[in-house]
Amino acid sequence: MDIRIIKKLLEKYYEGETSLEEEAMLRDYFNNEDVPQELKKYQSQFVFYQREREIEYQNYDFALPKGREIHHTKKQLYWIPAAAAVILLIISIIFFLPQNPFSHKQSNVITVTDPDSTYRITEYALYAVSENLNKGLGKLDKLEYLQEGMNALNKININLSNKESN
Amino acid sequence: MLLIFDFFVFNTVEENEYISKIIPLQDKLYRFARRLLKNEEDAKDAVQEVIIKLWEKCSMIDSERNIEAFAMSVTKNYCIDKLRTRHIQLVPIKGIFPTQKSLNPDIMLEQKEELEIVEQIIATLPAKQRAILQLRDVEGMEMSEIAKIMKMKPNNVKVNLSRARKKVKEKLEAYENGYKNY
Repeated sequence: MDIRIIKKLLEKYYEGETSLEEEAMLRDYFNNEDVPQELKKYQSQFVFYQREREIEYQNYDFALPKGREIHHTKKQLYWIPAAAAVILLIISIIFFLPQNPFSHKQSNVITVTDPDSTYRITEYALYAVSENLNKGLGKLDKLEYLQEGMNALNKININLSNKESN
Repeated sequence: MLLIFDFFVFNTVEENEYISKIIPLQDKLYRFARRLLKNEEDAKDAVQEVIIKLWEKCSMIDSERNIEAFAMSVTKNYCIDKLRTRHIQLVPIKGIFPTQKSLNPDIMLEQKEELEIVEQIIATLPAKQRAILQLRDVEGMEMSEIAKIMKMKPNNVKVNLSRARKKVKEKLEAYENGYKNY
């Protein structure tokens, strides 16, 4: 390889401006070619870097600590009760709603579209209401007794006050 | 109850996946730790520690994230911490320089000796420069990747790399001149 190219690359190399490819060229040159005397002083670095690449870590069998499993399980534990609580909450809300989809009680609401039956049903409903109302009003007759009693009391009251003023 | 929880933990799959990811990186991690700590035993311990640390943080490592850069970064942090707490500076550099009269010139010519001197010279560099030199000139990493590992700006990496390379050159020259003068 041309020494001038190598010299230029070395210049760039010491400025930190060589690309990885250019550095590979330098490494190849100093490791494989017959280096002239004037470049000999640069050789040892590149030979050293090449050798360093080949160093291996000869201790492949390692045991991973079991500690992490516990750590992991703990992490998993947090969301399970949380999820259970949320599910329980949702179920209970649905169950206790006024319109419970799980209950089999018949709804009080009837939908009618036919005008004739609408009339009849309305009539019946109003009749039922008035009958019940009358039933309720019938009990009010007893209030008359109360009124009579009250009148009698009033009379006594007036008599008493007359006597006192005399 | 425990059986239910076990169902959610896929240890073996994760473990295998992690091991398959970490094994190809071990050499690189070891070389990096060795360069930073300047000691083989400490470097081995460092690799073990880092592998365990990474395993504990395994859930953080997804396939998208660059596990190599992450592992190197963890190694760097571990080694820098170790260096800070280490009081005795290993590898005394002065002993090998040619000012010592006991050196035999014939041995000096041997390449092995010369390579050892390069290693000693690199060992005198500051830890940051040592790390960058290792990542670039030995591992052949891209500048952007080194910047990520070192948590530095790419331009800063370049400056430090240039400084480290120049220092190696200067010290080698000083060594050679010293030898010739001697």
